[in-house]
Amino acid sequence: MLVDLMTNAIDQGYLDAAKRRAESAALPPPAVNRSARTTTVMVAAVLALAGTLFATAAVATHRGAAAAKRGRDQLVQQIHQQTANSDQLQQQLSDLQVQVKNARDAALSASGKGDALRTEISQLEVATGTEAVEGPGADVTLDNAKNATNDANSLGTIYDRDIQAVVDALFADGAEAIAVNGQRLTTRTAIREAGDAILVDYRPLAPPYVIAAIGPPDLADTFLASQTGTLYQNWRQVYGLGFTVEGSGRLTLPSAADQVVHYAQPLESP
Amino acid sequence: MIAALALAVGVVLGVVLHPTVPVGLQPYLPIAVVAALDAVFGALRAILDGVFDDKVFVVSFIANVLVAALIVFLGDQLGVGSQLSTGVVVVLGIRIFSNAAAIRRHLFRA
Repeated sequence: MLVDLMTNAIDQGYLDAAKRRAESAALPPPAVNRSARTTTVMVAAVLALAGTLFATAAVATHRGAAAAKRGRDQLVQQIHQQTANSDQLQQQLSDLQVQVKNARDAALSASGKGDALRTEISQLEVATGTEAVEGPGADVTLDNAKNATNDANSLGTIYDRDIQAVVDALFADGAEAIAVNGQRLTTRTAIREAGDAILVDYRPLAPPYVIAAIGPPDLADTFLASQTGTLYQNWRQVYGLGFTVEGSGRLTLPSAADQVVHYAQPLESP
Repeated sequence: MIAALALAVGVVLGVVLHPTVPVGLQPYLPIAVVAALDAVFGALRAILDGVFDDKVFVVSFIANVLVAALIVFLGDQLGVGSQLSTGVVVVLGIRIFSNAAAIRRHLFRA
């Protein structure tokens, strides 16, 4: 069939028509060639139709591509808009939390008993991470190795467990408040991985991961001497991980959003 | 001469008028275009072979386009639309190529 297709590409109709013409040429030609003009017009009309068809197909394809691009652009724009919206709401939330805190402090400072209560609340908030704090400490920076791939088995990539290990070691070395890339760790903050992103308090973070910890002034040295610190220094040399530890005389850590407790209830005090 | 002019007029008409193709017919447009190309190339070769016939051209053009669209429509109804349109494109493509080769031989003697 394919051979037939290749060898007889010309329409059989043309050959038949030519044969017929050759036969009729022996006869005298018709007196009036009335159909010549009609057929020329028809050929022209069909060719015009073909041209329209080509142009329409081209335009339709072009338009389809443009429509797809428009839809994509619209989605991207929506994402940007909603992100900005969410950021604004976040900002509004922290503003309102500051207001609530100020109002509460003002109400409590009216009496001596309230004053004591305010000090206690403030101390608890430092411990739970819902109040901004400052003090001496250390910055630990973790980063993927330069040649790291997104492969799950890549040894030069930082995972959630790396951040967890460093945070645990810092707490063990006496850190009192820790923030990862500006996300303050609270008593209920999870450090976990979803897809390729590391989430701290359900917010995706991008490398490099800066873990700022407030604690004893010699926190950096203690951490470097610890088991975890030694391990990561080794890994920096073997796998090319980005790992730096810097002591800092004064760090400021932001507060986390207020923690709302839904299910846990305090025991009746004895 | 008239033919080339008609073709150009058709292209201009298509570009200027932006005829909207109904959504239901859109899948058949590319197939119709390939079929039309086949008919046009066949006619061109027939002219060069000296066997061109107006009536055959008009009928073959319209029939080609309709049959190609019909085949794809049938395929769509049977659930093999994409395979059948591939088949139509392959067959017509081979024909276009061999006709183009014949035209080339006529024009350049090579």
